[in-house]
Amino acid sequence: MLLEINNLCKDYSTGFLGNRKIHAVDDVSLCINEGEMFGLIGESGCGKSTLTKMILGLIKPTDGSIKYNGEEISNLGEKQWLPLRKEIQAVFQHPQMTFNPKKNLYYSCAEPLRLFDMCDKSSEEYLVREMTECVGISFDQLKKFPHEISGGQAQRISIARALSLNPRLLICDEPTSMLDVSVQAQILRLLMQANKEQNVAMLFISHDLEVVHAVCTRVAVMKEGKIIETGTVDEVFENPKEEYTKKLLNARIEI
Amino acid sequence: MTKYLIRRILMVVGVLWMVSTLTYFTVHVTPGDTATAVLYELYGEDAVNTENLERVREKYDLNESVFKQYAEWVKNAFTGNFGTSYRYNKPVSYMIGLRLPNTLKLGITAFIFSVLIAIPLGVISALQHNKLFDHISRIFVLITSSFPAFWVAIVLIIVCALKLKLFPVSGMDSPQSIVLPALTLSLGMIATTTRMMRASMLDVMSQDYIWVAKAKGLTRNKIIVRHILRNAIPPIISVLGLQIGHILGGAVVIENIFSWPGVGGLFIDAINAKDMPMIEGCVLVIAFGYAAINLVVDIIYAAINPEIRYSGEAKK
Repeated sequence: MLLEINNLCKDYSTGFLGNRKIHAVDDVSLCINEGEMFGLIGESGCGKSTLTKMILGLIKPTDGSIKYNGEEISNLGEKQWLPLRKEIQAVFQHPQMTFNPKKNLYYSCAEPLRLFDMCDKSSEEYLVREMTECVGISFDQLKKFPHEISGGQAQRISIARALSLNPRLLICDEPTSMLDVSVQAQILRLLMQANKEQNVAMLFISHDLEVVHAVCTRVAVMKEGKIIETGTVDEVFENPKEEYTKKLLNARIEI
Repeated sequence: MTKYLIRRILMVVGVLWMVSTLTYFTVHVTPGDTATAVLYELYGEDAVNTENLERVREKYDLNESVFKQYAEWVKNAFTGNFGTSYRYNKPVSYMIGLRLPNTLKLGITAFIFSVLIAIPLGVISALQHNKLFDHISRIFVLITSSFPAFWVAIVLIIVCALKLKLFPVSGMDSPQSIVLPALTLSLGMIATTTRMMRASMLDVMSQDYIWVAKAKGLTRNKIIVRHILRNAIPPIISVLGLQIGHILGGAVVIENIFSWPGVGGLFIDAINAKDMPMIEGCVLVIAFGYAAINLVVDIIYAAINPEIRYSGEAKK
C-alpha cells in the first residue's frame, strides 16, 4: 500500500464570528497501491482540491491520518517533509499559473533538481533538456516566460517538472480540465506513459468521467466532502450503487 | 525602446505645456491686481499709489493683454528663460536652483522613511495574515492616514521639539532638523504603501505557483524571497511613483510649517504676491518632477517585469 488515508477531515470556519463550520473534507478514507492509477470523481467544490493539498502536506487536516509507505505524514513539519517531496509530486489544474511569471521556464524546471542536488551544474542543462524533450517540448521553448506559451505546452512542462524527480506518487488535480480536447489526449497519453515506464502511482482527480474511465483502474466518487462510492472503474461505471453516481453517469449520456 | 522613450518624453513636454497654460490663466482670473499685490507684498500698504503702480506695470509689461504676456512667456520659456521674479527681482531659474536642492533633500528623505517603514510592515502583515501583528499594523496605518499632515506636524513640534527637545523646531541649521518634516511628509505615504504591499503579497501568496513551490519542497524563506517578493514588489513600484508625486505636493505645506527653505515656501510667497513668473516656475518644477518620476517608474516596471513589452517591439 503506497498511500492510505483514513477518516480524514478538514473543517473551515466561516461566518461573521467564525462560528459556522464547513466540512470541506468529511471522513474520507481511500488507499492507492504502488503503480496504480486511482481516479477521484466529483463536482466542483466537493473538496477535491482540499484533499490534494492535505496529501501534499500544504494544509494540515483537522482529523484523521494519511499514511505514505506505512508512515504517518499528516503531522510532519516542513523539514521532515523534505525527503518526501521528491516522492510525492503534483500537477495542478491551471497550467500557466503554476509557474512563477517572473522566471523563465528553464528556471522553474531546474529549481527542483537544484533543490534535491539531483545533478551538478554541468549536467543540469542536459537533464532539463532530456526531461522536456520527453514531453515533446523543444529546449528553446524553455527560454520563454509562462505567459508566452500555450496552456497545453505549460501543462506538459509542469508534468515534466513533476516527473523529473522520479516520484512514486503523482497527484494530478484536474490536469486536463483547462485544455482543449486534442491537447487533453496528449496529456493523458503522457501520464499513462509515465505510469507504465516509471511505475508512478497516480491520484487522478477529475470531474470528467470519460477521462477517468480511460485512464484509471479504480475510482472513488466524492460528494460534499464525503466519498460515497469506491470500486474498480468497471464496477462503478457499469453498475453504480449510489443515486448520485447514477445521476453523474446519466448526465454524461444525455449530453 | 527608443521610439517608446521619445513618445513618452514628448508626452511629458505636452503635459508641462498644458499645466503651465492652465496655471497662467487661472492665476490671471483670480481677483486682485498683480501690480498692487507685488507692491503690497514688497513695500507694504503705503507704497500702493498710482505712480508706483504705473511704474511696476511698465517694468513688467503688465499693461499688455494677458494673451500677449502669455505668448511672450512661452517664447522665452522655450529658450530656457523663465523670466524674472516680480517679488525678488531675480531670475526665476536662479531662485528655484537655490531652493530646489532643499526640497529634493526633504522629499528623498521622506520617501526613504516611508519605504523603510511601509514595505517591511506590509510584508510582515501579509505573512502574519489576520494575526496580532497584522491587526496592530492595520490600526497604526489607519491612524497615520487619518490625521491631517499639518496637525501631525504641529503635534510633532510640540512633543519632539518643544517638550523632549530631541529635534529643532524649524529651519535647516543642523542635520537633525530634517527628521520632523521628513517624518510628517512620509506619514501620508506609509498608509497606502503598507496596505498595497500587504494586498499584493496576499494576492501572490494565493497563486498556484506558490503552492507548487511549497510542494517542490522549497523552504519558507526561499519561497518568500524568490517567488513571493519577486512578484509582489513590481505593482508597488507604480504606487511608489504616484506617492512621490504626493510628496512633492505635500512638501509645499510641510515646508511652510517647518520653515524649510525649499520650493514650497517660494511657491506660497509667489502666490501671495501674484508673482506670475515665479508661480509658473514652481508649477513647472513640481509638474516636471511628477511626470519624470512616473516615466522612470514605468521604465523600471517594464525592465523588471517580463510580462510587459513596450508597444512597438511587442511579440517577436
